[in-house]
Amino acid sequence: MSDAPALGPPILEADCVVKRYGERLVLKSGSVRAIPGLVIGLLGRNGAGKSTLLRIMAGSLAPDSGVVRVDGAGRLAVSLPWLADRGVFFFPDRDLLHPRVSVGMQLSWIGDRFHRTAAVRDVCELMGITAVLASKPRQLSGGERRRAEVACGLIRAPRVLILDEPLRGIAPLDAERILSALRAFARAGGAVVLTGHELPLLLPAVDRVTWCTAGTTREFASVAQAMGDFAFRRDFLPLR
Amino acid sequence: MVYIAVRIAATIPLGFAANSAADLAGLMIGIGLVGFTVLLVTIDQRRNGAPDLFPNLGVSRTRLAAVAAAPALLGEIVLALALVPPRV
Repeated sequence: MSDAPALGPPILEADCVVKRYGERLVLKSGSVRAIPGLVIGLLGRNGAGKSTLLRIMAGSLAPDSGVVRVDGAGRLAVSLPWLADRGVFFFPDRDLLHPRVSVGMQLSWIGDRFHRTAAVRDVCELMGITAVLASKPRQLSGGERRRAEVACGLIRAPRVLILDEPLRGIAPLDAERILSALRAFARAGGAVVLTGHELPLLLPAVDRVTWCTAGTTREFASVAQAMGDFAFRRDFLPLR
Repeated sequence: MVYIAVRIAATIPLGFAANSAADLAGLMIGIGLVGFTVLLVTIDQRRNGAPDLFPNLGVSRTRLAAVAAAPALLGEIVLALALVPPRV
């Protein structure tokens, strides 16, 4: 996008990652980068290895081989707590918040932990969850819960947000609100990497596409470039 | 979980010095009990979900399990101390 700031080097990068689950080789050579100022869409079919690659990048899963680089420095093993201290926030493809503790309490934890108490109210208003702060996550709708989870990440003010299917099962209005917040985060210099299958919503919101297919990845410099690639369209998009 | 751990602890006298085979056995049981409690807490966290928020706060699962198990461990130690007959 033309209004993006000058791009810096990747903050976080998973490179040439190999991962096998038993006999099944899920990733033959997967790579993905989190670049400040950009929203990267990691797209691909179900079972292509997107979630596995994201989890490895976020330190939530150990690769069989490959390297994760943080600020250019390669590491053979990273953990999410270690990355969290370096500004990474990871949204798994399951519930993030504790089901038995109120949303407001959990957001306060994050504010206290990262000295961002003053940001809690603003982020809650931005994500439209002020009215549900006293509720527990299990009492919220799917969209409210997902917005509350994104609020967690924004309160933390990380350098990198990694989101595994953040739009799954939520209404378009909630999805647009989340994507709008993510774009604003990237415009402010943050790096976003996300997956999903909601193409009509995702494609206008991402700056670059990393296509995950058959255990490998291919990076496109823009959505237009991805859409212009016959193999991408054939493999991923429905026939028209 | 805490209730079960405390009930188990209440039946086992912990030894704190390996002066004899009995003391050593008590110590080993105590260490096993601590490990068992941490294991139960970890399983509880897994079953009830939401362990992913805490790693994002920089807290490892091991540290989280240890902190969550602390009340149960404290109860075990207090009860064990109360149940061990004073040494003369």
